[in-house]
Order: sequence, then structure tokens, then C-alpha cells
Amino acid sequence: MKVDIKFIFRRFWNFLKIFLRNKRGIAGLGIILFFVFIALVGPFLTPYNQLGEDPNRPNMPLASSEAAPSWLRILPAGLGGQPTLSENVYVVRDPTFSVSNWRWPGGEWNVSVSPDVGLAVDVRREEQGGYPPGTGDGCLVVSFKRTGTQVYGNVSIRIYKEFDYPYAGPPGIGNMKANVFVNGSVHKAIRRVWNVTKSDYELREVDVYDVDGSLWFFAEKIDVGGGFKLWPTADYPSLLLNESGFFVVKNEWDTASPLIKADTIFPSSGRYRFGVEILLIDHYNVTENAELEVRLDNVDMTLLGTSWGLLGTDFFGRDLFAQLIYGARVSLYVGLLSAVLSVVIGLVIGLAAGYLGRIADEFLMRVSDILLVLPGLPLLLVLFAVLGASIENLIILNGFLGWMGFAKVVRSQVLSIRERSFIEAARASGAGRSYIIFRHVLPNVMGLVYVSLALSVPGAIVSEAALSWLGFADPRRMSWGRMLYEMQAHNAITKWWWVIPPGLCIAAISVAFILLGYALDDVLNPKLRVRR
Amino acid sequence: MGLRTYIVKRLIYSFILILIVIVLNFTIFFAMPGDPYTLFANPQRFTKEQEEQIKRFWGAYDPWHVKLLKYISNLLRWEFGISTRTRGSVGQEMMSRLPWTLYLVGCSTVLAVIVGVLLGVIVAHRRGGIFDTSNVVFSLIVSALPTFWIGLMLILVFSVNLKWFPHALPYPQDWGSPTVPFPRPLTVNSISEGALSIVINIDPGETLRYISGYLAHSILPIVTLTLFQYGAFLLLTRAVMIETLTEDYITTAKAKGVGERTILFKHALKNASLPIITQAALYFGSIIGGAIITETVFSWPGMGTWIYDAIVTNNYPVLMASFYVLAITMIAAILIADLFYGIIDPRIRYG
Repeated sequence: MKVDIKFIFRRFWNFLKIFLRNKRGIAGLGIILFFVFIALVGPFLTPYNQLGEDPNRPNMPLASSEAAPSWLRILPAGLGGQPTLSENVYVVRDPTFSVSNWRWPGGEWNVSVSPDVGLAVDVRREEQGGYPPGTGDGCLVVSFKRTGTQVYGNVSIRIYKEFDYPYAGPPGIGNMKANVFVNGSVHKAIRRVWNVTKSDYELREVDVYDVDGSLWFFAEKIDVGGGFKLWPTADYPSLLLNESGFFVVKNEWDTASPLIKADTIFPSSGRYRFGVEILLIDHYNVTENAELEVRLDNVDMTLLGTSWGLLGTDFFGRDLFAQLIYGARVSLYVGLLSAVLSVVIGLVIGLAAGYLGRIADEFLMRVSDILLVLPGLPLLLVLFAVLGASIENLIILNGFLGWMGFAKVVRSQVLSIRERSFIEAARASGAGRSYIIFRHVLPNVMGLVYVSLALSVPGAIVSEAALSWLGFADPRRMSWGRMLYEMQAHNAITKWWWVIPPGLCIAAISVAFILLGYALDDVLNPKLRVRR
Repeated sequence: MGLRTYIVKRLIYSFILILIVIVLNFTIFFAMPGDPYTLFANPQRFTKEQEEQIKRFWGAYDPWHVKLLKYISNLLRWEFGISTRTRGSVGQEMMSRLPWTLYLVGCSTVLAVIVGVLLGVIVAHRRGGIFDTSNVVFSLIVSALPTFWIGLMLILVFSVNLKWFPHALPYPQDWGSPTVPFPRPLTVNSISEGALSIVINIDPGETLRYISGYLAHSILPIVTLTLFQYGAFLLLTRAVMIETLTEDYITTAKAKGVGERTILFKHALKNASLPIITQAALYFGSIIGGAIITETVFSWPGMGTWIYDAIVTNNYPVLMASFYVLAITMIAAILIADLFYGIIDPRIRYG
């Protein structure tokens, strides 16, 4: 078969000239190209992955749960702005104590000891002996040494930093963490202890000491004072007595915490203190020269704000804007492939029914009748649930359950074409059946094919959205429908910035394909006028 | 082909379609993974013999054609078996669900037809104008929107922000509680022993409570489904009307000096109504299955939520029954549309 490229090009050029005169078609094509562009450059628009997580720290919230968009903070309150929203604050600049001037002024940490016990308490930074063992990025050593028989009672050692909290409202979630190592205890025991020189743990018999204590985080507003003891959560110990070796102390609270609410810790903007408080209890004078050493490393506090990014976060603190961007991929993927599949199936069946006629026609049309009669959406749901929730299955199902209407259109068109005189002429000159179908009938239904391709995309997109919204979604991908499902599942209907964008996107992309389809219909099938 | 032959042929064809649907239904769920006996009877609580007994009782060892015949005869007798979740009769459950769906779908389809046809006529009359374009584009956009999103937006605006309408149940939540009983707008009293003298009392206060309670709770889902459907009727009416308005007899009527409204509604719409009516029948048939989403948004206790729950809990008897009933509704809708067409337009019978 000879292909005349010049002719094809000319024909395409003519088509383009007519198409570009159609305003609706251009609008539709523009919107589609916009979404295609977004789908292609998605990774450049947002640093987060399609679930809205930081790819380097999966399953970690970016901001507090269901944070509002950050521009709501700047918006005047009359326009719906919320000036009390806060943003993320990373309080500690250098949690690993890697710099040698760690002490204020110059560094960030203050040390206060009360009552003043003079040289008995020493706080210093050491290059070796931090966590994880073997790394030389520094740690803080708090050592208590008693010479003679004097008993000091309770000694509180605070290691804290002062920082400005600039937001009027409290943070959504506060995370505190520290690695603690204790050397020494009240009981004589064989313990694993850190050997600085060998940079390793070893078993060593530790002498009986008289000193014990506990440890907690604290945070306070400086001009208010008082200080909130933020005890490590139940899973993590706070009593130094029971521990040896490295252990993690952690505390996490959020706005809904039953014990200490975020707005009591951070009532307003201002200067705050945050730190670790060690309370040494030196009551007994059993032995002379008692000694205790506490090592601190990775002391960190992160305040996750109640506002984030362009569209805020979902329940798990994932970026909604990234989900919206990547949703375009899912919708286009499902929509286009489903449309291609259903149109190809419809075309083949329509051609066969229309041209072969008789038994084949009767059989194929009855099959399509039956499929039309079965309830579409419930059937799709059941089969999707059985086959497994993956996007490819959805495309296949959409293709196999959505060809009937187009097959009927093609069939009626073929029925009218096959009676035309040029087919008769071809047949008279000895053309075979397949030659006639591919050379004469198919080119005459191609106009319908393009139109139907465009017009069956919205149905597939909406069906994907509906399935995802009902909870039948591919767990690896976040689509617009699933965004709305998560919204509904966590009762966030009042958060309009979460509800409106996905729906608008679905609507825009569907309408765009419909406009394109109608425009193509106007240009390619001027005589048919099947619609409108 | 006479009218009678046509009707008989359509009826026979519909019945064959029903049989095929039953067979398909059987095949689909026969091929599904999962053993209905283990779903029905917890294997840990039964001994092997008991399990055998149960299986033999339910006919697990019958050959497949016996199963199929049993299934067909059961369905034709409206027997759907027992729901694996509630252990209640599926038929009875469905009878409590179906009215809610029919109410929702019926109201919204009627509303959609009225709004869509009226707008369609006006739009066709003023075709090419701004009113035409804006209406066409708006109806295109609305019908492209996902139903659940329309519902969510309505809830967001009218239920959450304005607090005009509740959105959880089809009737107020406190109805049926000890302090607030269900309203009884009608009380039927028989005065004497003879059943012939019956007095029906209408309590105006209770009637008002009844109507307002149901209306406030059903207005949002009905509006959702109406918005979803009306665009199709608008576009169809517009297309048919534009075609009709160019016919000669309309020009003649205009020349005779017939009023514009009379031309539009008496001359044109009457002749254009055939495809609209058939479209309405088909829509009604198909939307019952599509109401699953609207019902889930508003937790409406109709067929849709029933099917959804059944899918989530692998409740096959419920699914089989609802598929069957939905298919029958669709077949009935097609049959009605066909018969209507055939009676009014004789050309169809030969097509």
C-alpha cells in the first residue's frame, strides 16, 4: 500500500484550519494540554511523591494532621483567613552537638544548675561516645561527682535553648526526642557500659553509687515561667535508675492531647525555652566519692505547624498539593487507556456486526444488549473487588464494560456505508471482504472513532473517581477520587481547600474532553449531526 | 407486523433476556472466589460431620446444572435466600430498601425531566444566544461532575456552613426515640365492629411534621441526582426541538399567527416528546444502579448502600439478588420504552 505523506499532511492541515476556528474545541484542547503538562512535569512542581510524602522520609508527617494551606495565615480574617495558624518550627539547629561552641553565647545551649553545687556538676561536650556508637559527631556529657561525705539532695540540671516562637497560634504536633546514656546507678550490678577509649560497649562491674534521678523535657514561655514537664511517653523510660546503656526518650503531643494541650504550652508568640531537665537525687551517703554520668545526644524538638504548603496536609500529614498534581496522572492514564480499549473493542465489534451481518450481527447485538442491561457500576465494583484493586484492572474492566454504545453507532454507520455505490463498485471489481473493510469502510468511520475516543474519556475518569471515592482504590497511587475518600473517611468536610480542588479538577478534565469531542464531531462529521 | 405481534415479540425477548441475566448472574458468582459455606457457617464452630450435613442440606454436592435450575426456579419465585451478614431474608431486606431508592430516584428523575425539558424548550427557542450557550455549557459541566462531589459540595454549603438541611438519615435522628415518636399523619379508626365504617383522621400538626421531616432530609440527595440527570434531558430536548422547529408546519403555524408559547409547547414539544419520554424511562432504569454513590454520600438506606455494604462484606446472596432486580428494572424500562415507541410510531415495528 502506497502512503502519500503529502496528501496526509495536507488533509491534516485542512482539518487543523477548521478545528482552530472552533472556540470550544480550543478551550477543551487547552485544558487537556494543561493537565498533560502537569502530569508530565509533576516531579518538578513538587518535591514530594504521589502519596504526598517526602521520598526520603516515608511515613513521616510533613506538618500536623489536616493542616490548612499556609496562605490562609496571611489572608485577612475578613476573607476567611486564619491568623492563628502556625508553621513548622525546627527548634534545635544542631541536635547532634557537632559544633564545639555549643554553649551560649555563641552556641545555642544554656546550662543551669540549681542549687549551685559548684564543681560537683560538670557539663561538657565530648567528640566520642555519642549515639550511634562509633560516630564522632559529638555528644553532651553531664557528670556528677561527689567527693567526701557531703550529700547534695536534689540537684536540677537544665540544658536548654531559648528560641523565638513567631506564631500566634499553637503548633499542631510537638515531637521531642533524645538519646540518653547513663553510667552508674544505686545498685551494684554488672552492666553494659560505654567504653570511650575502645568506642564500644563492654560488660563491667559498676560500683554502688548513691545517686539516682530522672529526666524529662520541658518547655516554657520565658516571661511566664513555670515550665511544663513533658514526661517521656509510657513506652520510654524517664527514671535513670532503671536504665543503662543508650535509650531513647521521646515525647509527642498534639492539639488534642488529653494531658497537656498545645495551646497551654505555646499560648502565643514570644520567647520560649526548651530543653532537657535532669533531676539528680543524692540522698544516701553509703559510699564516698559517688559518681554518675549522663550522656545526651540527638536532643531535638520539632513543632509541626497547623498550616502547610499550597493546599495543606491530609490526616497523615501528607502534602495535598502533591497528591493533586499526581492525581492528573492517574486520571489521564485511566481515562485515555480505557477510552482506547473500549473504542477499539467497540470498533471491531461494530464493524463485524455491521459488515458481516446476519448471525454475527444478531449475536453481537444481543451480547451488547445483555451487557447494557446489567447494572454497570455495581458490576464494576464487584469485579474490581474480585480482580484486585489495581489501576490496570480498572482500565481493562472499563474497556470491556464500556464498548456497547460505540459498537451500536459504528454498526449503524457501517450498515449505511455498505449500501453505497462505491462499495458495490469495489466488490464488482473483485475486492475481497477484508480489503473493503480496511480500505473503504474503516476510513469512513474513523471520524466517529476520534469523536468517541474523546467522548468516552470523561466516563472512565469519573468511574475511576467514583470507585476510589467508595474506597476501592489502588493503594500505591493517590487519585483525585481517593483524596476525597480520605477526606470523607476523616470527616474533614469543613476543610473546603481539601474538598473543592479534586472535584474541580475532575470536572475540568471531563468537560475538556467533552468539548474536544463535540468540536471534533463538528469538524469531522459535519453531515451526521448525531448530537445536539 | 401488527401491533400485537410486536408487543408479543418484545415480551418474549424480554423474558429471554431475564433468563440470560439469571444464567450470567449465576456464572459470575459461581466463578467468584470464596466458599459460601464458610461465609455462612464458621468452620471453627462446626465438626466435620456437621459441616457435611450443612453442605448437603444446601445442595453443595449437586451437579452444576441442578444448581442452576434450582437457582432459576428460586429467582422466578422471588426467593433470594438468606443474607450471610444479617441472617435475614434477602427478599424482605430488599423490600425495606427498595422504596427508599424508588422515592429518591423517582423524585429526582421527575424533577430532572421537568427542569431539563423546560430549559431545553426555552434554550431551543432562543438558540445561539447567551442564555443558550451558558445553559448548554453549564449543563455539560454539571453532568461531567462526579455525583459524589456534587453531593459533598451541597453538604458543605447547605448542611455544614448554612445549616439548612441535615444530611445523615432520610428522617430526623430523634424519630423513634421514646420522647419523639414517629409522626402519624393518618389515624384509621373503625367505629363499629363492622369494617365498613372507617374514619380516617388527619392530624394537621403531625402531617406537617411528617412532611417537613422527610423533605428536609431528602432534599439534598434529590437535588444531587436531579443535577446529575437534568443536563441530558436539556441537551436532548434542545436537539429534538431545534430539529422540530425548522419543520414546515411550525412555519405555517407562525404564519397563521399562532402564539409563540402555543407553538413551542403545543405544536413542537408534543411532537418532540417521544425520544424524551423513552430517554426518561431508560434513565430511570439505569439510575437505580447508579444511585449507589448518591446513597453512600447521604447514607441513604436504599438499594445503593445495601449493595455497597454487600460488596464490602462479600455478601453474595444480597449481591445476586440486587443484580437480578436491577437488571429486571432495566429490562422493564427498555421494554416500556420500546412498547411506547412502537405504539406511537408505527415505523419502529418494521425496523
